[in-house]
Amino acid sequence: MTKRSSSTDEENMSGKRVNRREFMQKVAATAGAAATGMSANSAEAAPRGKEPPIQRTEAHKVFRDAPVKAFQFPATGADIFAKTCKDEGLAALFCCPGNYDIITSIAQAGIPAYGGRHEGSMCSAADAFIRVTGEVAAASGTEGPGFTCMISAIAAANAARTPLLVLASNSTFASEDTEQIIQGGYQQPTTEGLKKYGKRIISKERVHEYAGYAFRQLKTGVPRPVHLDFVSEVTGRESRVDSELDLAGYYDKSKYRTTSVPHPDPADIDTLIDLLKKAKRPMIVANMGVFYSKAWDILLQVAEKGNIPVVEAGPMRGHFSDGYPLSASTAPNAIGSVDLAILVGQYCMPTVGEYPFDIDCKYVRIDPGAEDIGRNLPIDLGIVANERVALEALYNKLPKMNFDSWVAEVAAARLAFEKENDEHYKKWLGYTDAIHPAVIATELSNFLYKGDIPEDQVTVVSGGFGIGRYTRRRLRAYRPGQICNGAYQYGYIGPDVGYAFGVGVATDLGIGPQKAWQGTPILAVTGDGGFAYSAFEIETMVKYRIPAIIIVYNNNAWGTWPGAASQPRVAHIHQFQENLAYHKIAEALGGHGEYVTEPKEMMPALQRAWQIAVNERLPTVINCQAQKEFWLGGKQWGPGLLGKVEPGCMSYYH
Amino acid sequence: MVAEQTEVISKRIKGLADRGVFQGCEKSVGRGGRLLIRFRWLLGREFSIGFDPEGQKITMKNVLPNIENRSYIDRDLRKFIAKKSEGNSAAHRHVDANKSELTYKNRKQNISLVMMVHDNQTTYGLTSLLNVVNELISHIGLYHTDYLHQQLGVPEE
Repeated sequence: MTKRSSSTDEENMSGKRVNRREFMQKVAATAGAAATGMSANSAEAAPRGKEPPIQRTEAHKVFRDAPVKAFQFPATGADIFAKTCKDEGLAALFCCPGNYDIITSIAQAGIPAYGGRHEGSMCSAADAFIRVTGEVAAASGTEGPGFTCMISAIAAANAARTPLLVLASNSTFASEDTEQIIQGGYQQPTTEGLKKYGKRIISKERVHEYAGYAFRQLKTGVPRPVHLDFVSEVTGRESRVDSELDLAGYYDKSKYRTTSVPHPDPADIDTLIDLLKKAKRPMIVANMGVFYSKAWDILLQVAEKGNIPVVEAGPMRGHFSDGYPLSASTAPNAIGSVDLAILVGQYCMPTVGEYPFDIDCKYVRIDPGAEDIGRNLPIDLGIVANERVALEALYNKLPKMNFDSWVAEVAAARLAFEKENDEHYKKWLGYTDAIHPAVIATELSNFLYKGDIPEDQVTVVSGGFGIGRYTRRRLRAYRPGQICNGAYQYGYIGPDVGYAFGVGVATDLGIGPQKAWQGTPILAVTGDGGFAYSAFEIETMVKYRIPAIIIVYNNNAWGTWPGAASQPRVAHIHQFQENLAYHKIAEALGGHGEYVTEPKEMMPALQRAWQIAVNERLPTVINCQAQKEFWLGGKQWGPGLLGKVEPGCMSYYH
Repeated sequence: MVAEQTEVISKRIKGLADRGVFQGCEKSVGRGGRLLIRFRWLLGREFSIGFDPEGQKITMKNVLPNIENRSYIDRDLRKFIAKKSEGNSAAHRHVDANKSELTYKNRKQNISLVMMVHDNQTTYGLTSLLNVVNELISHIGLYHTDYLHQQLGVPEE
């Protein structure tokens, strides 16, 4: 696997200024694609008839190099909170105006902070940022409506077990329950069931202490969102304290949380090895816990020593490369053969049958918390341990094993899956009235993995409702955090452009596994239904120069249309106007637009978008004109609205 | 031999229920020693296994409802079941014709699967039949999502 680091070329988190032009030239060279038809659609230069050109503000150009405010007493509660966030390594803040004391202090402390157009999208951005970096990030909105705008995104992050810090505030405690002024509301009950921990902070003396509560929850055990809200008496001017004498529990993170992790019982590892010796077709299911515990290297070593195939599932992919010979992520037909499933870090559990292993399959779960082991799927062995530590213990005791015939079966299943994908592609390649999702998916795959771009370079947001059922089959992950699985579990349709912004920032900053390809363009797949929810974040991408290619599958309808197609009083609910110009929305917001109406236009559009992303740091929307009838299936329209087999590349339930 | 076969099937199903693969199981024996065991399984649906000792048939009736004969889905499922006996896949994934014979039946739009057991291969026949149903539901989940939604109440998303 080729890896290139551009960390010395880009701006880094400490704000060090470096040569961006040189970096962009280098990235452009990797694409190698012809820049034919390249747009001069720079947001600052493009003349638009009599209209003045879109201007990027000076504020967006200078914010990274502006001085950081060093913490010192006297300090407000917001300053103290920001200091704790900085000490804890909070990687980024995504917000809209509101919760002013907190976002101001966080931004002033030097934590990368971004402002967008909708709190929900910004919360999704933070979620996606975490899913591809493994680092904690925060989302913020104002008290009341700003906060409730984030609810769906918080729920999605909760379902994905994302360690997301949700922050919201503005009102005073003095006005609570009075309906004085506006925007009041009880926040903590609203996130009940959507968080790991939450607290309304009403004491300025305890701001640091409760920040410690938050990070203890975010950084230990099984992650989920943490929600803090502050009354303004504890964050604003009146919260100033003169020294640490005024603060409760004001000590370092090494004293309020531990980095120790649970280790497996050696007897359990012996039992697991006995199960492996009796198995004929074992498989490791590598889920989010492998990613968050950074266990990808030891996972590969275990797989190779044991000759055990590995399949991925979860809200992110790439912790076991699709390029490894033992990868079963693109071998759905092998799933039915599995007689021993070792589920590692599978926090969101399927029920019986959702992973259609052999009916006599034995189940092992490796999970840092005992309280979830045995839920949904009956277990034959539960191992309470941090995933990385458990895999290390397994590796140390595991003998060399031989499952060659099983590995060959997995390899054959991979080939069969690709052959089927190819058949879908060939069937629709000659269709020129529109572009079929099988064609989009294949052209995308050819562009990302079979051209001049190194296959592990581009991080992808794999979203959309109907289109995702084709693109998931073709998208590949060759390194940790290369795919953010958009619709994972909560099935929130609409956050994809928000997700794309978060992934773009992660790549721009080069955080965690994104370091190897810092600054490279990212790509997102979404549908026309979902695009409308978060499309305005294209503007956010433009102003921050986050180069993203957004594929919009435009079939003029929600993916639910086929079920209502024959009911005239109902069908309209599921339809839009036809041939909407989503690409022009991008242009109107300062980005670039492409309109693809038949197969031969797809690859050139991708190439132009790539050049613009690399050279101008601008996003492009590729509006792919499809037809709603593609989902009807049957002989004429088959394969229609495909389903999925989990675990593997098609997964989005678990 | 019949009593032995009935016992084998009962124990096998009970074992899967005890492991939590099936949700409960209820057994009844009818005329001629015909065995019927009901249990809850995939998609939370109720399934049943019948055993006819005289005909040496293990039957799963009404596996799938409301499938019109010769419809697109009916033809696809027939093909899927027929392939299970072709022997092109790994040994553990196809039905060995020397041991059992698998038949797909569409009666009044209800799909039943029948496994004819040869040479007292009861355990093999039952296990194969259960795995075929497991794969059949998975196949429908991949290629016939509209059916899952409209007929079995699985959410569209």
